[in-house]
Amino acid sequence: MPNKRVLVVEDDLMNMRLAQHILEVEGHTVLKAATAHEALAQVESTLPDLILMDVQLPDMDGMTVVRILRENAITRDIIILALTACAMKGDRERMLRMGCDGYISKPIDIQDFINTVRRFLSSKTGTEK
Amino acid sequence: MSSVTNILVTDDEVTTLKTLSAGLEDMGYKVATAVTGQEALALIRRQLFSIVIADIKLPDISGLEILETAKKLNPETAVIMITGHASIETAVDAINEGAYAYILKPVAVSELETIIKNALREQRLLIENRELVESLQQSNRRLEETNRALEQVSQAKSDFMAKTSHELRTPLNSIIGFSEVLLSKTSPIGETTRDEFLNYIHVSARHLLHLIDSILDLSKIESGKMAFEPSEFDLAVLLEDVKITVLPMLATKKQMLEIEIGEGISSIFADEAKMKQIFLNLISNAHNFTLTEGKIRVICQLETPHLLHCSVVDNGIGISPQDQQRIFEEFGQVKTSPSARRQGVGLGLSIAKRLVELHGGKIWVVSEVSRGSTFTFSIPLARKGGCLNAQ
Repeated sequence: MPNKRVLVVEDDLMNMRLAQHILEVEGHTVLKAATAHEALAQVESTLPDLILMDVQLPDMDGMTVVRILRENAITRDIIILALTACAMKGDRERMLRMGCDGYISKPIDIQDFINTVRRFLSSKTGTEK
Repeated sequence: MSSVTNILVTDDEVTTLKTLSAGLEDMGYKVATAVTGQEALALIRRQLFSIVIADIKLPDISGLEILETAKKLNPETAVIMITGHASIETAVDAINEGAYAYILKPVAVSELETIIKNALREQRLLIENRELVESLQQSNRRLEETNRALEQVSQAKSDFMAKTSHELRTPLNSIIGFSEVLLSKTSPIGETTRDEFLNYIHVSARHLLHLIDSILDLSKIESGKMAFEPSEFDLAVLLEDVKITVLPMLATKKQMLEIEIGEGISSIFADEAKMKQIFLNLISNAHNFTLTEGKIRVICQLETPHLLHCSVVDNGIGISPQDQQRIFEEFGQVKTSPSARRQGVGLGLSIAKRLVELHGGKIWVVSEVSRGSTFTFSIPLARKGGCLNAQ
């Protein structure tokens, strides 16, 4: 797996650290944002290959960030995976409907997490999905 | 309708009028009489008649006008028209206009009695029917209201479940994730990193425990299992106890705690354990939202001899007006900056509010962003003379 830039949007520092560790072991460069505004600024300046998006952010709903990114021609095609502790019935469907490409619920299973990220990154490097 | 039935008889032939009214009175009815249409209208407007009997042909107005007025004022009034053969067509019209029946002259009192009895029976049925419909509509409305209230409760319950699930999963993610990382032998981890991760597991597990305890407290209060157990105790001793409990927590942020107890307060009559919990939760909240080296004050005073006011004042980050609306809700805490250790579990104020309410008291907040917050609760000291210093 070639090195990719992955933006983790997460307001819980420990959960952020965990995602960072796993992704770095995978060989990726990890970019971090703890708020929606930081996330938007990061995306604009770095155009990451993949975004892991928490839903409950201090300043804005994560899904609002997704909508903003999807409305912008430059950021529209970035892979966005919801990474969230919202794991009640219907949450997955809601987030896919709101523009996420995939959904990972917390607590994560590390192998599943790695596989999901790999799958999305490789589908994107090959042909457009 | 009252036990005595009011009947109005209108006829310009005085003899007929007298015969009819005498006959009806013999049957036990209360009878009023009128010889002109205007007189009849005046009576109808003044009082309620169950039965109105009127000659169709009156010298001043038509009996139909009496019918119209009587029905308009009280739709349940039964109007019986008296008619001669000459005006029988008008009588038929009257039936179409809502008259109960018509009776041909000369009027036989016995025939009239049968009609009146039938009319009264029908009237009773109508009234009962209407009352039944009304009471059904009323209970329907009540059921709808209850239903709406239940729906709200149910919605609140599932919201709470969703939030709880979210709040449990967040620390669990750290606990499961970091322990999996530490257990996996695929990538080597340095000693510093290992300690860092172990610390996260520990902090998250502690957080989880606190969260579970709080949820249990809350559900105990919710289900009404937490009894109000007042006793007489010394407020100063309680606050000293609280202080000893919170000092280690405050020391982590080098925060100061001052306790001021107003004059005249010594022993109070309240639920000691719950009072302690209220103070602990409010101080803990102040601690979380006050910066390092901040100051927290607890001020207790008697607002009246029977009303105790206690405030927990901090000079922390404060709460914006829109956030003040929801901070007493479950998980309604304000997310500020990201933190390795979440600031509390988001249930402390909600629990404090319920415990204050268990005392029959109130809690509120006054706050200004970046200046600090003051949480105040007031509880009535109604029994045992309230403040006991006088004893």
